[in-house]
Amino acid sequence: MQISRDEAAQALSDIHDARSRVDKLHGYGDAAPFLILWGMVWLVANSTTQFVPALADMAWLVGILTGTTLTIVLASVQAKRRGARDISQAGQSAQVAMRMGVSQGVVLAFFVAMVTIVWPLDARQFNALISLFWACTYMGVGVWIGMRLFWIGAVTAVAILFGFLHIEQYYSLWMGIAGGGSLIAGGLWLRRV
Amino acid sequence: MEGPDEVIHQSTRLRITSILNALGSAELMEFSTLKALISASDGNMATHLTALEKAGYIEVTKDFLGKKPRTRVALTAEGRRAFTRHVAYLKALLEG
Repeated sequence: MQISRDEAAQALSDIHDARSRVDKLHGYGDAAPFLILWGMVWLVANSTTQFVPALADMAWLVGILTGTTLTIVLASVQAKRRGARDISQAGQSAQVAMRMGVSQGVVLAFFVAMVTIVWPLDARQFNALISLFWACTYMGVGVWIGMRLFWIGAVTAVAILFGFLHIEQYYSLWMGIAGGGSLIAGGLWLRRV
Repeated sequence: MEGPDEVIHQSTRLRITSILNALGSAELMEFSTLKALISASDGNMATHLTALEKAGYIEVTKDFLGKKPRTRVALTAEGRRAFTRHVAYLKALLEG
């Protein structure tokens, strides 16, 4: 069997493409449960804010605590699985995870500083700002992981801005259904090959 | 320089082994996922998977997830070695 240099180059390019597809599949698979989880938190907490305003603070507190705890659990399970996937890259993955964590911390610190500077914000403005912050984070992460995540963030951001600018009375409900709903639908979309 | 692996070099089989090689050693991929990533028909996939299985390069596991039948595929240790050798051959061909 004879293989030309062109065929060899094409074969190596196919191998590289296949590797990229698997990496994207893993990235989407890892991101999907986080989107579904936080979509549920948005949906429940915003709907509670709309229909039972007296329980709004409690709903957000419980939602954020539950979401954060489950995020940490999910992230550690995924880190272990990634280590098992490729032991030779486990050390590198830990380093990348640490850098990503620090980067996220920097962005979060900026957000806290920005809110402190522009305070006071009403509940509606604060909700829109923090929701937009996360939608834009998904867009930024999507540039690295895969464009599906970018578009999920973009659709969510547009839904948030539209609600903030055009919906008065049912704003929280809109944020729950359109914001939370687009995250849940996006998470389900990421699970599809 | 060792020659090319004739079983692996065929275009669809090269894509199948590339994808399976990118998985962890204990990781299996569902047939439906693999088929979607390759963009091949059921019949085409079955033909190439059989050729790879005959060569001892892949292992096909059939079981049930609840009541739903499931077929999963993984590269064997021999398959991984053969793939690595083939990639080394391709690189050497380009560099030489």
